[in-house]
Amino acid sequence: MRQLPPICFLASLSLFAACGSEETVVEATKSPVGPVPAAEQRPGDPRAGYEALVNNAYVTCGIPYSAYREFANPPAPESLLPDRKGRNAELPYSLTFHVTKDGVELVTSNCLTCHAEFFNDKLIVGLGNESRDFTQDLSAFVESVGAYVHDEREAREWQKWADRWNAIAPYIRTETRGVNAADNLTLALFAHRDPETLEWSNEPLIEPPSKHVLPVSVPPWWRMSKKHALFYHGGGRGDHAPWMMTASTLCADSVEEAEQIDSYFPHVQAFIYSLEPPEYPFEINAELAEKGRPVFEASCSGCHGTYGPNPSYPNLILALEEVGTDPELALSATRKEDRFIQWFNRSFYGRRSKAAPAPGYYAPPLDGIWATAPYLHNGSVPTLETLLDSARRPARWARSFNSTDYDDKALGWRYTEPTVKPQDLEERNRIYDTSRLGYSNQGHSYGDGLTPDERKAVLEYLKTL
Amino acid sequence: MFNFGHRQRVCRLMLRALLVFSVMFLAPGRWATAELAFPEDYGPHPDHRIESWYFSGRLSGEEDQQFGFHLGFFRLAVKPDAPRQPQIVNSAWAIQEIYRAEFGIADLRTGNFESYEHLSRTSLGLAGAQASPFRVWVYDWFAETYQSPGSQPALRLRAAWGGEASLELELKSAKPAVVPGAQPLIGTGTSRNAMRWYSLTRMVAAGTLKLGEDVHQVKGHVWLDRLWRDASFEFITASLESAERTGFLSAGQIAINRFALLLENGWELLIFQMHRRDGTGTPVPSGTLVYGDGSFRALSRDELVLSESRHWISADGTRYPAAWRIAVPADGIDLTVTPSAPDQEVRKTLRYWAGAVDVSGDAIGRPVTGHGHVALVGYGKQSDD
Repeated sequence: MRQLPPICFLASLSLFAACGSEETVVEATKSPVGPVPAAEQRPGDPRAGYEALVNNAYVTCGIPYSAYREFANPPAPESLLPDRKGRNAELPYSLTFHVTKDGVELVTSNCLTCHAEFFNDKLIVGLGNESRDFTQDLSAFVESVGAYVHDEREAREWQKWADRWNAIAPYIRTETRGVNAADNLTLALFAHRDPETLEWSNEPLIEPPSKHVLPVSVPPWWRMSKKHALFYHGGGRGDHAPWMMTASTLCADSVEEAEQIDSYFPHVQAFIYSLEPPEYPFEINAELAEKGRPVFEASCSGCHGTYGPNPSYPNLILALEEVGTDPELALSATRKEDRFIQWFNRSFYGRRSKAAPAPGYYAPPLDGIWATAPYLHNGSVPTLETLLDSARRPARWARSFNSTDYDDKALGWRYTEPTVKPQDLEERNRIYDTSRLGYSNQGHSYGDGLTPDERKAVLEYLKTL
Repeated sequence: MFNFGHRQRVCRLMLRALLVFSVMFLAPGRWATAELAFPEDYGPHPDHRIESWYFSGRLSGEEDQQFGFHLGFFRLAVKPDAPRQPQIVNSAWAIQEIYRAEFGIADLRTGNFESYEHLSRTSLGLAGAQASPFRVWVYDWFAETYQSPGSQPALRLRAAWGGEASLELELKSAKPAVVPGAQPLIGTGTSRNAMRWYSLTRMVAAGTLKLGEDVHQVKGHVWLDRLWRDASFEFITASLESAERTGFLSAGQIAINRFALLLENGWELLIFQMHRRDGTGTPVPSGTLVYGDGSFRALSRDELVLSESRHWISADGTRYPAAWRIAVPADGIDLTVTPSAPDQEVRKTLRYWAGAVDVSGDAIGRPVTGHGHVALVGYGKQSDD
């Protein structure tokens, strides 16, 4: 199953301020770079949030259960999560059982499709999925499911689900496996919905996003409690919960349905904010790590904060020219996609939240950074070692996507640098080619000035975060 | 658990089994990239419930007559999920597997097309399949490997219907097996009930065709599609009920057009087009292009252009597509595919269109002709029409 939407990852937005007249005049504004102010959040109960996260169907259309059973293998024990109820207990972590009002049993996607991942063969809830394959033709998958559907009521549900994926399929194909098409996915869904009623249209109501997907790496959930805004360009302002539930735009066809999901999403948010990064599972040289701390604090903390007993985090967005990383995502968000801002701010989702991207990139908290390879917002750098030594970053690289293939010296995925184009399509799709638009590994060259010993010490220190 | 002791129940089960053969032909799965082993994979796969050997080809007579044919063998393991009852296994009359064979033959000069079928259980050796030496048979129809002294192993086929029609062919494969891949339709290569598939896309054929009193020495090319998969009993039952209601081969909500095309430049194309029976949704073509040297590559939807331009309506009003354009721009392929005779509808217990086609157009910018076989499945009235 790879057809499942991400949740907390809408980007590419710029701010519109409606002027309140019949004839809506919208002014496209942007957030400035620099510090991001805090916004008020609704309270929630983390325990209730976890239960909702793994049991409630916030994506309310899906594959008829009878069809799902025909092609899905029984889940591996390591992909099952605790405290799941009923049939959910038999489904892998990324899927949720749902019975429609008409009594049709469905298997639907959930947040963990993109927000849980295996590391060293262990499932970590909240770790961004960096292995999903968005290079495939989704329409081929959703249409072929129909071959397994015989019951008429199930056929209607399959068709509803398939129609939505077909509508957005052309906008979510990436050039390489492992990067996520979340931004385009969400924008494409917006394009097919009336912002006032949330009613679905098989034909787009506004111009869909570009078919060239700007890739993103899925950030870990445990960072989110520190951040004042969501997304790489900080465009997700205001109440975070409505942003987190935008995966529901695949299927929620009315404001009433969205309100129902929104009613418990502050709990999901509370669960996400309660998450802690995992412990580094390999050996740490404590002495060397302690040597790395002052180097880190002198070179990195200004943007990424400090860690330990009295942590700090500055919530800073850096200008594109300052950080120097691939600018396409932030440029697209602030210059090319105003219509989606207008959609969001007019919609149910914009009641408590606002879209306001900045022409720059958020310097993220680095808790658990060792687990989140590949690096930069587009996942273009396979290891922290090469992130901190820009001359060594590979221009074309491939990895195995095996969660045990971790390089605990370089802190990231082991990789090769293929020189010939493989015949096999799947092999070809594994290659990350940094010369593609939006896939560049440039910028963030702050580690270049470190001596080899300093870099080694900083890497050791990063294992402790 | 089924009670196989009742004759009535057996008859019903056999009818159902006949119908379920549609399932194997239709329900798409990820085309496995698993390595093949021969002769084992000529033979049956008892751990998969459904399996088929589907030969199709174009034959020329001595006086330039042209014929199209298909000969399919289908195996269904009657194996509920629960363990079998010992007394069933021990009875010589027990039904453990059911075989169906279907033979269609078209005289392309007259446009006359006939189809025939046999159905049998494996009990008492009436039908069956084995791997070494390979043989699949239903009554006196069969496909098997044979080896004449001093030559490579080859295949031969036989099917006959009284004095009306008989075909005997010897086949030698000109290319290795092709495993269509890299364009998953559903699940993964290891997913439950994933379909295993390979094709021998160009076998050189020679033999004898009798139509009534006329005896033709024929030669030509034959294509083999070989597939096997498993399915749950619930799914099989649901498929059967759908097929019983409609009388047509079906694949749930999906119609599938399968093209097996041989070009005279030595290339072959295996193309599938899935589309919804109700005309909504996004048609999804995919396929495999086989080059002259036997190398091949998967074709995704973006690499293929497939459109239909004409239709043929059968006597009962079923509307089938009857002309296509198939293009693979990256290889300079742009082809027109048309039925060699309009009415090649199989009208046996189940109905679908399965017939010879002519091909003309360009490949790498040069004019090319060819021929092939097309199966159109999932047409016909739906239950609520």
